Amino acid sequence: MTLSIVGDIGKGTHSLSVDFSIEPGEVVGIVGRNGAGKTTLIETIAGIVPMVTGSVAWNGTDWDNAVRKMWVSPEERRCAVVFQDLRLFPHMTAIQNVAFGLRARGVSKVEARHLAMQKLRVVGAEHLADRRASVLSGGEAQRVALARAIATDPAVLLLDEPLSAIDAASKESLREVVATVLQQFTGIALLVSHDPTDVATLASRTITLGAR
Amino acid sequence: MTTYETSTVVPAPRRPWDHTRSTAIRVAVLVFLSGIFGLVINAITGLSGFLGWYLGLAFAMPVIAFVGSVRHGWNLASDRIATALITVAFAAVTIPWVSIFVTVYQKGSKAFHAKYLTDDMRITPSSDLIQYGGVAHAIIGTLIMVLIASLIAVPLGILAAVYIVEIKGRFAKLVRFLTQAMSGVPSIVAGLFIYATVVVFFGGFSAWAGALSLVILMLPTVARTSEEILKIVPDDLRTASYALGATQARTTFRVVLPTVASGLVTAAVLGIARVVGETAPLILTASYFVAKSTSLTEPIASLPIYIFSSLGLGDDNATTRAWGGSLVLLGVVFILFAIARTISTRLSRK
Amino acid sequence: MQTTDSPVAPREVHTYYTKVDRVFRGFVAAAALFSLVVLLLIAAFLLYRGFEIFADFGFGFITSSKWDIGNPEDTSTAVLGIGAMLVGSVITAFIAIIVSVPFAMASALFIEFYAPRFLRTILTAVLDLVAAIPSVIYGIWGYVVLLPLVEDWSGTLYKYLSWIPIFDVQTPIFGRSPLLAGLLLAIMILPIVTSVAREVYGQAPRDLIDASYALGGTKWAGIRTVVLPFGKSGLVGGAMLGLGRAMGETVAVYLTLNLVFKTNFQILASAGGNVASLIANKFGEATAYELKALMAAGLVLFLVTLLVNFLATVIVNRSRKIV
Repeated sequence: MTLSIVGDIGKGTHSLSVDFSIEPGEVVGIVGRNGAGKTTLIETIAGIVPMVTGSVAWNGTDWDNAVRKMWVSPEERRCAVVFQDLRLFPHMTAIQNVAFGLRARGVSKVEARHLAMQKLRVVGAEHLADRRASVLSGGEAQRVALARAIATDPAVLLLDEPLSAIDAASKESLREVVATVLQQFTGIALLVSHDPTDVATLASRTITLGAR
Repeated sequence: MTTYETSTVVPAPRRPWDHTRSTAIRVAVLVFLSGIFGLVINAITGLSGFLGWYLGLAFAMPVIAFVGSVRHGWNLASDRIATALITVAFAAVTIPWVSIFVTVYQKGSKAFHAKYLTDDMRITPSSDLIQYGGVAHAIIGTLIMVLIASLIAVPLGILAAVYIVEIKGRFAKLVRFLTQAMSGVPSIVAGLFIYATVVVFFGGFSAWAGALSLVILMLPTVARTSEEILKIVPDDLRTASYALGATQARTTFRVVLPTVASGLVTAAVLGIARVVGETAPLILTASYFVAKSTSLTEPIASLPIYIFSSLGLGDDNATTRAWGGSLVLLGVVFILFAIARTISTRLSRK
Repeated sequence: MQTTDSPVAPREVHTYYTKVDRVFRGFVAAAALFSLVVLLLIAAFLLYRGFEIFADFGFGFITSSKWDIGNPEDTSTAVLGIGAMLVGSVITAFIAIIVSVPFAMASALFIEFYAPRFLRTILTAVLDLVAAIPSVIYGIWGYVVLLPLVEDWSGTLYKYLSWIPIFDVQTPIFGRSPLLAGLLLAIMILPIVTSVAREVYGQAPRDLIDASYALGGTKWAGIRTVVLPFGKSGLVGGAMLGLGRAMGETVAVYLTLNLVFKTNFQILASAGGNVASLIANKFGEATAYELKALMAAGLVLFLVTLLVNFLATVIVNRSRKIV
């Protein structure tokens, strides 16, 4: 169930060569300068942006192969993303947000709500279940976004700067939440951050982008 | 040896384009003199009344502006003349608008009595005294036809916008062009088309024929406004939805459309405002009826036709009734507008 | 890992949609193409019903000015032509454009450059509201309020300017004339033209205007040298949109222009008409044959306004792209 990516990623004016593979159970921290391509890497693995050349494969199956012209769209990949700007659906409640991925996979409303509630409990946000996403504070929204990502038990979990928008005081407690989630997570996790503390405490190994 | 004058008075910094007192005085004198000239014109020519005076003022202002500034050079003079001309022209443009609102209110309110909004004209000939009869049948008829038209045109319009913005299909540019073309169809042609098809085929004027002719006129407005609204939705939410495994269908209906729900309501309201006052197509499709009716297969009254047919009779009382109907119709348009603007200001404030 | 700074073109990716999405996309496409279907049907039906007329009269339908049903039993005695009405459409629309465009320019300039900022939002809202006033209300106002005024003015125009052919009349009785209809149409289309003009003028490059100020130019100089040339094509597009609206207007013209089947260039005379008001006028008591002629007339009107609006949209879109 390895995730391997080799080739060039990029969108627009720069391209970046990458080559690594990740095993399940690993939490790989991605660091690098601003603009080095950390978010592009996340988007490429998730399927929002295609690779320029090369391939992304999971468990031996090509998700994206420039040479063999293979492409699996994001909704078919077993990936989940916690975006840097969170992107919670503002008109839905927290629990509706979390249940969204489950409902998209055809899970019944009742079952989805039940599972979503479980995930909210993991991140310590079960009291926010019926609150509208647009009124959540930064830290609360972050927890909900995390719950939303793990709700569908993805094979690959991608976290883009999960703690960057949080103030210093709440960072500690939130880092613990992320650590708990990552501990319980059995798949492949990629964590992008510019904060060395995050990477040091959460990642099992580090890859630096854009350095020589 | 140079001496330096030390001054204790520091000139207060001022934005050079600010209106100074001298500007205000100059403008006041200009308007005053022009007004006098207008009265002179009133007196010596056949042009009388407000409009004659305004014409005099409109003529005098640029001339006086010229005379007052020519000593400073043509550049400044042309600027002053231009300002005078533009302001006078714009003020002239507002005169008919004010006249329309005032006249409709003044003459229209004369038709109002206690039961004006609840009675119909079933037993009252249009030339009867204005305390009898009312406009209820027209209000109900307009309501029914606009409602049916909305039920058809709003979903179709929104779907057209979805096709252009979300699906970005092969025919997107064509659909866009066609919707714009459709907005140019003259209302009478829309009525003629529905007449040639529905009315002839089903053998009679009817409310739903009227509604269908309104659909043709309403659809382009709803589509165009919806398209503008959907274009504003940032891609982030869409990609987040896809990344969570949602299909395009689910993304559109559960994420994109709900996010701009109030904008779409505005599109619908604007579409309604567009057709609520249409007369020509209804002449050919729904015709007219003097009593309250809810039957969809029979001719039905409507506010515009009520106004139009009352006016055609030439009788004083009938004409007053026409003004009364105009006041009601203008009120409806006004309310729809207020609703649309309230929704969009609340939308932009979020 | 290395970074290269070379321009990257996104790779072409073909997405295969799920069954649900294929159905969804097809459904939406069908709904969207509904407007195409309707437009084609309109043209088709009008042609179908009016075809006999074109067969009987050919091009004469468009050029001849007589409208005589003749003997209703024998359709060969009919002589039907919308020539006078087409001319009338053009004349009234022409008057409307000539009068409204300068005022629309002035109004757009006023709102955009001369009005104080708080007034600008109010005026834009008022402009939108006035554009939404139904034509029947413009019509009744035109008939009751504007008519006596124009009668007066026509009298004055006739007194001093009757040596110009268009201001001459056979009988000095002034009532529902092309001038009245044209002026009313001018008032009706002014909000549309002003809105388009204002939008274009508002997009004029501010840096150029500021540069002209910096060089000592006045506001008018800035407008004259930068804004007006920049907004020229937008203004033309707006004027054509107004033209399209004016040519298709029914009720307002019906109420302010006396329908007479004679090509009339004397705008003060009480005679004229346009194609739309012809249809509304004759519809009530038309014979079966006459109805076909009205359909044919509708087709002509449809095609003409379609063409005008198409040109207008092209021009307006091109002026927007320059920005």
